[in-house]
Amino acid sequence: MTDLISRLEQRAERMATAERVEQTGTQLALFRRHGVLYGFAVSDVVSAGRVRSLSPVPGAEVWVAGVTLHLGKLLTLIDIPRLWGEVHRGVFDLPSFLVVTNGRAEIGIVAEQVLGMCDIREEISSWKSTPRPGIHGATRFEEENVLVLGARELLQTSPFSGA
Amino acid sequence: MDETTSMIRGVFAEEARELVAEIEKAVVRLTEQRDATQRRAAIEAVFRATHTLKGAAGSVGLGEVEGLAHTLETVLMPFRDGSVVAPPPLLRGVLRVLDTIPRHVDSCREVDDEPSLNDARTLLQRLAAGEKVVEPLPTLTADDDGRDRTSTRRKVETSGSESEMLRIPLERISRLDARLDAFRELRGSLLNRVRDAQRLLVNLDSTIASGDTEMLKSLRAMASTSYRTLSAALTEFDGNISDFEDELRVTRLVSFDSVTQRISRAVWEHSESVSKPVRFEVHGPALALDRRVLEELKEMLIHLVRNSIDHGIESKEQRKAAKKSETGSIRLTSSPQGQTVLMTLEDDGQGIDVARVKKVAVDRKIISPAQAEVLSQSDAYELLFAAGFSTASTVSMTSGRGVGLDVVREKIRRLGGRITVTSERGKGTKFELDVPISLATEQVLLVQISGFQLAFPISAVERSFRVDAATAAGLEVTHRGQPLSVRKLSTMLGLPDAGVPERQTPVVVVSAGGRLAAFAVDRMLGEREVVTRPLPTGIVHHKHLSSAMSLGDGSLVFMLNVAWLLGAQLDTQVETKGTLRHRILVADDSVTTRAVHRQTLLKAGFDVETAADGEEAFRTLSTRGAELVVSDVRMPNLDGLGLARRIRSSQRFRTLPVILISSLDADTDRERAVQAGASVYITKGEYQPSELVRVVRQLLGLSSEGT
Repeated sequence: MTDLISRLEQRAERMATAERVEQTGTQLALFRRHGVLYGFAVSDVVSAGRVRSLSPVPGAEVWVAGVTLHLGKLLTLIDIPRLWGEVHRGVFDLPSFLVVTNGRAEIGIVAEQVLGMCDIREEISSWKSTPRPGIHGATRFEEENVLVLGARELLQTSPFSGA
Repeated sequence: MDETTSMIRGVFAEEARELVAEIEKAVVRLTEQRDATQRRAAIEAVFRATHTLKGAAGSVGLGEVEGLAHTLETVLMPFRDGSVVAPPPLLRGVLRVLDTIPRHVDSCREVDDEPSLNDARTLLQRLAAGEKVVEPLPTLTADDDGRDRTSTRRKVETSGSESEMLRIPLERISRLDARLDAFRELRGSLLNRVRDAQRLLVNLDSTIASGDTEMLKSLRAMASTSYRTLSAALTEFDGNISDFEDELRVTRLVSFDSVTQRISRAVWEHSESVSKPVRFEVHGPALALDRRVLEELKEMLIHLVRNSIDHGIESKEQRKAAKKSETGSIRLTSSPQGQTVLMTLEDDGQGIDVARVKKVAVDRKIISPAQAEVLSQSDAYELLFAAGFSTASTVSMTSGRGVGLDVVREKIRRLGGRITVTSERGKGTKFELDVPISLATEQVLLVQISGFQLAFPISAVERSFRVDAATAAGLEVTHRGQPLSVRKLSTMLGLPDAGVPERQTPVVVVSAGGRLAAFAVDRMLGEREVVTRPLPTGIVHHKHLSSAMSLGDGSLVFMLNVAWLLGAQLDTQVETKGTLRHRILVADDSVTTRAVHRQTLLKAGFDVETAADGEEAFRTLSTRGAELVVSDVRMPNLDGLGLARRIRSSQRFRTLPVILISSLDADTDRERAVQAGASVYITKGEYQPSELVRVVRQLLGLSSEGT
């Protein structure tokens, strides 16, 4: 019996330690676009969805993919690489989107793939390269680079700054 | 009381409210008419509705209501031919008596014994006999309006508990039914997915027992697929719920007419009581707004019209001396602005006496004499909204107590809106209330411009017509005596030059803020009643758009900001062109890929139709036609290869150019595509918008510029 109790205690200790380790990491909502991994802090993300119907906006900027109806509200879907002025060859399906917020406004970010919430063990280093709207920093996830975005940074750039 | 009688009385209660509202409206109209023919028409409307009320009340055993309706007919009989003007005290009494009917009918829904309405009958008879009666019934005020006479939503008190009844047009019920059908379909699909998951569980149990690792791996893959399909179904479910919620919200919208009718009555009653004749006019489109917003607006507007009558409109003598018509005028204009509705209330009274406003403010210690010295005119107007401010020299029941405009501003502020006032001494005062609307329906004219569906608010459309495309260039039309150059809307909006797809160019004449303009569009798609929504973040800064609306099939249409267009068009010189566009059909099961191709081709000046699979594409082709097809290969129902084969085997379309775009890049895939009938095969890896446009133009035999 003593052996069993001791083993249970050891197990409890292991689990408690494991929990402490998890709490020290960061959770990011990851998504992929043009083969690049991007992430938002989980606290920035309101929801995710699949693109059911997308209405183009006449006269809108090229990075506006369109507007969709999501959970009863109109949501503008934007394409981050195009917002940064990147031009990519090829046609890609954009079946998913993440909805992010700065607490006042929401915007949808289109993605080829939403990976969901992932634990990031590595540190997030601050962005020191060319400034880009919405960029917060960079990190790595399972041997891949991740560009970390911030909803606050994104929504304070000029087209959204009224939000 | 038995259940059936109670139910029938419930139905009658609704009908009685509508009939009472109808009588009330006709009575107010009667007070406004100056000639016998118009008076006769108004009183005939009173009689028609009263007669129906009498008959219906009798059929549900409400003899008191029946008797009251009969008395109403009797006292109004001498005025039926319109030659004699009904005395205002009698009409006021009629309105008071009408106020009692809905509550009386409600109180009879659950009881057999109908209370007496003898007092009301006696009141009418005494007024008809010319007696001066101190009215025993309470005066209707904006704040104690116990019932909502004309809205479709009613509060009904039954047995001490409050229930609410909602009258919904059959068409709206049908739309809710259609949404329910979508839920049922989805439920069937979810049920299948749940069964799949169940089977998976059973397989997992037996595989875990057997320890077959390979099998476990494939079951894991199946679980992953199952998760994805369930997630997709959940998203679809969310979409259906939001559509359903929209429809449900629409059923709660109330016509703005119900408010204007109440204001109309308030104007008449108040102007009568202070002996200042006032004509009340309402302008603007048919609007339906959220009931909560309407209730607030009603109170505020009633307050403002009373204010206008008390402080703005002069006495008959003063107006005569000022060479104005003896009858004052109050005009209410509603104008939807996308996310807000602008209510303008103007009177033609004496305007605001700024010197007096300053003096009162100093006397009441709201500002110091030194501040008054330097106070601008617009700042002086702001003082009217200060708590405790009133310039009225006499105190009436409804104004002059210094309570009012501050309350109105506070209410507007709570709704998230604003109120401003402007005035011109001797000419009148204008209040503008800009109130946000979370949800509203609006009548729109749908048009197509460069492949986009856009909407004009009907309230801004003066007229629409077609002109011959060949003669449209530089065309000048005359509207309301004003010459207008027809300008092409697509160019103004910076959209690709669409030309005109039809032989005739549709032209829409719009107005805003007293300005007019004529715009050429590609197609006129007709009028619709739509639910408008504020523009979302990321779009708000586009000033040419004012709101968005769902067409019920998931697609969204944007409303044009007419005021902005009219401002912008002054600097733009545009001509219409009599060219025809080439129509391309794009088939792809991915909504985004469709959008990408569509945008690319629209930008290049083509007209684009889309379809979600091969079957739909062929149907669209057969009904609407196209000069070229761009299709994905992998699609449900009928894939791109199947579509190409069907096109080649059709007598009508066998020479139609077909471009297949696919991620399959093996030589055998290309061969299969060519064998199926593809004119060109493009792999997604090598796809570029400019390349697609180049190939399309080549296949259509077009030059490298223009369509």
